[in-house]
Amino acid sequence: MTTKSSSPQTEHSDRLSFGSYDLFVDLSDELAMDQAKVMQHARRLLQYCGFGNVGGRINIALPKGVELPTGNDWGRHLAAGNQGALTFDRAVEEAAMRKRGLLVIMGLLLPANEVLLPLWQALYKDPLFGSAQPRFANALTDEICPFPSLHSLGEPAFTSREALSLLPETVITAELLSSCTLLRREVVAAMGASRPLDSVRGALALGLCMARRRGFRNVVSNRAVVSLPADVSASRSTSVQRDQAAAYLALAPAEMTRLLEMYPDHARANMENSRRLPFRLEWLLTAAHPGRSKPRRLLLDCRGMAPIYNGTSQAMIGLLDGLASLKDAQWHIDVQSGAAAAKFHGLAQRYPMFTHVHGEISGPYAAALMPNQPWSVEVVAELHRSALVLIFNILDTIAWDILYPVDERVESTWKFVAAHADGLAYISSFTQDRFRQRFPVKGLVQERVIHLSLDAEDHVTPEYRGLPPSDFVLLFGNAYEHKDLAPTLQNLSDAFPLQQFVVLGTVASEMPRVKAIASGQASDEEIHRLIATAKAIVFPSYYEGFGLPVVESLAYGRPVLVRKSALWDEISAHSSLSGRMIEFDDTVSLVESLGRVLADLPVAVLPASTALVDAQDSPSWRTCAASSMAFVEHCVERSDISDWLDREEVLKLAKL
Amino acid sequence: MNKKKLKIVTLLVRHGTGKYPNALEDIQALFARQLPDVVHDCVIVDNTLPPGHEEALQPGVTLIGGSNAAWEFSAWDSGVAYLGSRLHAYDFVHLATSAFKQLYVAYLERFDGRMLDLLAGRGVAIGHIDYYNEPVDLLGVGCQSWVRTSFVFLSPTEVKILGSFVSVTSGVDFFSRDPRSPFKENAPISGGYRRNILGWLTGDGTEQGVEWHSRFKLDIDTLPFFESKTLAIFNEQMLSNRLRAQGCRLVDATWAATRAGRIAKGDVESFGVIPPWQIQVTSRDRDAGPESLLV
Repeated sequence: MTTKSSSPQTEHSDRLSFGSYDLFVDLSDELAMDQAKVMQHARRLLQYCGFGNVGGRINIALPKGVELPTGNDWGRHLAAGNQGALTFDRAVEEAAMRKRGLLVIMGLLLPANEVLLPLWQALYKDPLFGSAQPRFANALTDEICPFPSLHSLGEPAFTSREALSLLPETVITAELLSSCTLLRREVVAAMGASRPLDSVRGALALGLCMARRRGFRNVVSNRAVVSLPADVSASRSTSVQRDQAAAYLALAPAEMTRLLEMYPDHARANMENSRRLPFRLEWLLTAAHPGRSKPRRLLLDCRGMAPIYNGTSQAMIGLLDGLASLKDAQWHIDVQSGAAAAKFHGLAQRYPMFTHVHGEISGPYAAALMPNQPWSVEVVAELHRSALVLIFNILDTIAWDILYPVDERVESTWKFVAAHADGLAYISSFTQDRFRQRFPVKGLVQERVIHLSLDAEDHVTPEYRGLPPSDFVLLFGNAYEHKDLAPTLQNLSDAFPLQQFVVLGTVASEMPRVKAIASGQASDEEIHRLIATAKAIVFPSYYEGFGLPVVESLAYGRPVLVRKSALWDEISAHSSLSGRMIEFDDTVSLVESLGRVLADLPVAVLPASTALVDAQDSPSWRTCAASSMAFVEHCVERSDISDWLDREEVLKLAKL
Repeated sequence: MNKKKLKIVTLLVRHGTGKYPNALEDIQALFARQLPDVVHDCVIVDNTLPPGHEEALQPGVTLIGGSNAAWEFSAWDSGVAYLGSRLHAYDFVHLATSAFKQLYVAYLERFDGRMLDLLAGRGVAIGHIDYYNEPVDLLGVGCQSWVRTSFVFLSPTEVKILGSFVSVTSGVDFFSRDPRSPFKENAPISGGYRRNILGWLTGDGTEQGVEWHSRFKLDIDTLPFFESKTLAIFNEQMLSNRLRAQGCRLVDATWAATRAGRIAKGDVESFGVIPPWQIQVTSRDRDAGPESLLV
């Protein structure tokens, strides 16, 4: 009937060909089967699975007590025995004599014979690949059964077929007992008697152990998939475990003891598999590619949000506002925050559409987006274990530049993300330039500037809009020297001795006509009222990443004096706010400009809206959120498993 | 709640417009009639045009050039390469050739949005399952059935796993170059398969009462065409074989329509486990296969 090439395992020019093989089917544990059911199963293998062309080379180990079947097929196509491992030994001997490989099917599996195409292809890749196994799929959903793992990754879940398509064609494993294994001819020839193991699975485990010690490795083909017998009644979660138990076989304890007595180092095999098999990668890939109609999960890591009002919390709240307005059904968003910050900012009440989580991160996530820069590699490692794609939003590099009291590991952390993050977003081009000068960004890392909101509507409290200006000049900053608050206050006090000043963010002042409000002491409302009614605002900082107070001041239509910086050119160019931005570069120009503002005299202002096609294009929190999500999508779509694996390797070497 | 509309991209392969000039209109009419709620794009791959050719014909319809190295199979590869990552925006990739209305066509009427929606997300290829009376061997694979590639809907993920639609590129292992006995004695195909191919291309069919419309006499002049056509038959068979190998279920459209009808009536809940092709073709509500196929 067949004209199969007589030379075994000859590689075909199109790399699509079979080696010669015999088939062994183990039904010895199928105690519910009687002779009729065995015969029907055998006919299905021949007819439905296409193993009819293996005629004369099929051995079946029968359940105990089942008599040898009779009929036309038996003897011609099929042989059977009910002596467990001894029946297996006979099949091995026969295949070895015929110089053939052996396909071993355990239990009620009905694989299509076509699955041997990728299995042979896997074996052909390397002469010392001794056995090849397929992946297994749930019959109801076609999703892929995950490998068994010693470590729990939370709720058991199937691997999506999309994830499978992204995995490498083959994975080398330690000996792995599965319900479908193709043994190479050389391995079959080297296998001896299975004593003292009695069961077929024991005999197969022994054979795999022997093969490994002779140098033959087991490979799993991610391009070969066999459906497991269906269990319609199983719940989805139980089904994963049931499928795993059907796909990846366990030895009876007594047999495992016997095997370990013969091969004590077999205990290392499970450890090796736990180390080598890509459980976590599959888990994360499935989160990133969950299949049709299932939302991806995004972790928004807001743990950098403090239980106070500051620039970072303001930016995060703005982003959350924007995300809430998007109503993006493609993503399920978990907001990870500290419990105190969540309570202070009322996150759960304000954003009921998101899931709010505290404490340990529980993945899997398609992506983790941290709206601020990370401060330690440990945090990056934690996110890496829970998300396929990591994106960090770089606010500024001020902490590293000016020796903030930050952890000294910040340098290595930023170097790490510059090399191994999937995406780096920056709140301004100015910040991007600073970061790239200090931490060269590797070519594969995606970068995008996503401005925070420059939309007046996002920054103005309606009840303060249009209030008449008072007589005071407002100074913004804090105690850090780069803010230059105290010297500027002194200079302005000296220059304008009759002028009243309000200072936000410094210690109390003894100077007359100066009202000082320490950082964090003013409420949000009070700050808005001060901005809205200031005659002018001075923001003397040398170094900012974005300068939200400046934007707010401009949004209220106030004149704002800022120290010359490319950042302010950028902010002005991308905004169409009603206030005027006036630059100074030293004390003399500051005094002169403020004097002209106070006297309502003409003054040079930075040109606004020059980067906008339409004034309406000015970024808002909504567009900031939309751009962030588009960037996340882009990073997920272009992510390659090698990015995650490279990061994994580096973190493992660092023992993180 | 608004249900998400199915998105389907057709990769229609043609070899010029001389032979089947209305293929695009016929496909568009079928979609309009049977799949009116589907978001449908079409990429026509004309393998008489050079690779790199790109032309917008209508909104949602683009004409590109494609490789003719392995006929429609290499042309579909060109189409997939053209789509790139856009492929995954679709629920189904619809492979078609301009000859899709030849031979048995009753199954074409059975595709509808409900059936495709029920199967979206599964690892499936939905089309017409053809079969020989007896199993044959090709490259060591025992096979009897295949999904007709002139009109088939595939999950984009299955396309990605597949890698290429081309399986067999060279006839070196198969052909003798002798029209009297065109297959090599040790070619990796069974005797039954040789007879079927010779019968289909040059004789009176495969003993199923159907004949190919373009039969020809095999001689030294027609031998190159015979070999090319045979390689296309191998590629069609191997496409089904490789899909099965990767765990993709071949779904017979007539069976699926029958099943979808039962689901709509509430007789069954879902497609559930997709049975072997023998069970599918014997339980079609029309043109059912013979019971002898069953175990």
